[in-house]
Amino acid sequence: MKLFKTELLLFVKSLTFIAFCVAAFAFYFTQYQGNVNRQVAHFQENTVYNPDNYLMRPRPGSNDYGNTAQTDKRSVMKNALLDLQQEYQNNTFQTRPVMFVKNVHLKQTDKKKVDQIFKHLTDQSLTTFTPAKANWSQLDRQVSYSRFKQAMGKIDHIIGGQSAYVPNQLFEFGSGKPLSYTAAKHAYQKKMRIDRVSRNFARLFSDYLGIIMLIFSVFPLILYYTKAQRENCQELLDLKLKPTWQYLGVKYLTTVLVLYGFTLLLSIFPAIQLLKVGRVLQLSTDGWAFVKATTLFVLPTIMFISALALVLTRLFKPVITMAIMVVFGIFILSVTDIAGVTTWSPLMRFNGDSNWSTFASLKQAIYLNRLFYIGLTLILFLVAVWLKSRQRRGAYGQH
Amino acid sequence: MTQIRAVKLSKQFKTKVVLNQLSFTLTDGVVGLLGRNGAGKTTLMKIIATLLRQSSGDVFINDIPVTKVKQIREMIGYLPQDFQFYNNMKVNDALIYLGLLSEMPLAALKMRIEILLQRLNLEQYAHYKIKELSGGLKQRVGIAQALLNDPKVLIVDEPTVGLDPEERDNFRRFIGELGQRRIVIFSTHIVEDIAHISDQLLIIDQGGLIFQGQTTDFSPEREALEPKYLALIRGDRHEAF
Repeated sequence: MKLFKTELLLFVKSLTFIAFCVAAFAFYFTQYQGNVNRQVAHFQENTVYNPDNYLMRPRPGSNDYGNTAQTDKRSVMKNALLDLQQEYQNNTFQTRPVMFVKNVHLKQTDKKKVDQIFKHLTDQSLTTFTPAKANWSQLDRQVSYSRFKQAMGKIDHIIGGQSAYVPNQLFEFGSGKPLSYTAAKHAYQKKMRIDRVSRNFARLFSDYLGIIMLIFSVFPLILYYTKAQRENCQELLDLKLKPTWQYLGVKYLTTVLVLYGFTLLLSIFPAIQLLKVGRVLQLSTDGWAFVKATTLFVLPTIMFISALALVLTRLFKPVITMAIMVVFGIFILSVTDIAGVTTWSPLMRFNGDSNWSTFASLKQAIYLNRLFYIGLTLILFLVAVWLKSRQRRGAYGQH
Repeated sequence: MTQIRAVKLSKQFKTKVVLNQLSFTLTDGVVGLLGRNGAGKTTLMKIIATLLRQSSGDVFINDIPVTKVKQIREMIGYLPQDFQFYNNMKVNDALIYLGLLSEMPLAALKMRIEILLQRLNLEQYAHYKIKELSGGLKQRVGIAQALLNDPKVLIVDEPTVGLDPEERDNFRRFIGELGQRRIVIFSTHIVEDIAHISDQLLIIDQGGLIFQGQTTDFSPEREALEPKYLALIRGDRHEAF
């Protein structure tokens, strides 16, 4: 316990950890809490009904009750094909590799391949295609949605990936139908029954905190794991009798618990805020929603990132480890669907109001994913212990 | 009685031979490990301290080979060249931390720290941060941590570098006291450091052992130790003996 306390102080009293807390808090506050505050404030002011406000109960007499979820496949197909035609004509396809926008210009041979795929879908060539003359109402009868997704996947591949035609993101081309008061009321009742006021916000919270942990936490983690090395006392510590698994275990546990604790701490304010909102709405609120979401979505990410840092710091110098982990984090962020969990990714994303459906439809895959990353964490930890034991026994020549 | 025995000990880094077939036996007392910079002193000490593996040959402490890492580490205390520790940690906390890593029970550890701080005149600095200490005080903390487990073998690597003359003198005297009931391997390239306190000498040059024995056998007069040593490493064996 005393050893854990010392390690805890070493970690939390470091300047890098304090800087991490400030940066993480700023990110959380501007990206997440600001949004929650706005919704709560607007809801409390009790002004005109706003369908974008998750908490507001629909009232009769409003002009706008929002739209249905974007599942209208016909409009998804139509809008996607229209966009494709536009990009094809300009021969400029926008992609977003590693979060940055990149314009791709295709060679003639690749353009021909895209045209061929388009022809299979619409029986028309992109060069002669006239949107006004197209029979859009027949499109979804002519081509099944799964075939359409497959075809778009091929086009995405030709463009080089991360384009607007990634099959799992095609729904973004969709446009919902306007909701009536009754439909909006039912939708509201359903989401409040399922999400019990706070769960949607809790998932969104874990979405932001997941990003923070994936990218920002890398710095305090690496600097803490290499502190002894940087302060020239690694040799001295290596000589001590504590078994390596315990020596690294205490350090690892410290980082995981501190980062998890930090996440829980940040969740207290929105959790209390939403409990109050639930009371005003006279709805049953899930008071543990943030703890549950944090434990399920953020904790395994923290465990994995910490274990990865532990292994990499055994192999590389701190600066190189930082570079590897930041690039890895940005890569993961760029390839993970923003509101549709990418089942293999260490990051769980629920950015959007409809995140209940995402969670519900992928519940099993999410649990599997989390279990996989916990398992991977264990393997990484064992690898770190093996590497460190060899190092402690002078297996690497010059110490 | 503790004994260190090396048998044809060699260490090679890639193609460079750093230690070449060293055989010697050491017993309780201060052992002056002399040699020029780069002679192989640190490598030898690291092998004894289990921080490096030898390429061939063996070293035993009380007949236990140094490859039995845990058993050997229970018997040794090590003060590296230029002792450094977490700068923002207080002396007392640093010693507790290092003691816990040595698997000492907390209550016994606290008592041991109290005794050591007293013996090393560090009591008033117990709550100072490491970065607030002078070079001499830092070395004393280094010795305190090396003595936490009351080791049978104490290895100190060039411990007087960076100390002022008074601190050096105090430090040497303290090492002399410690050598009364354990083996203290005191590595240095400054002969003056060990001239008055060493009981045994190990002199290595270019990875080879050029003298091993009692200090008095090498030089009956302590004052003559330095010129004899210099003559030896310059290759003038006649003048040396």
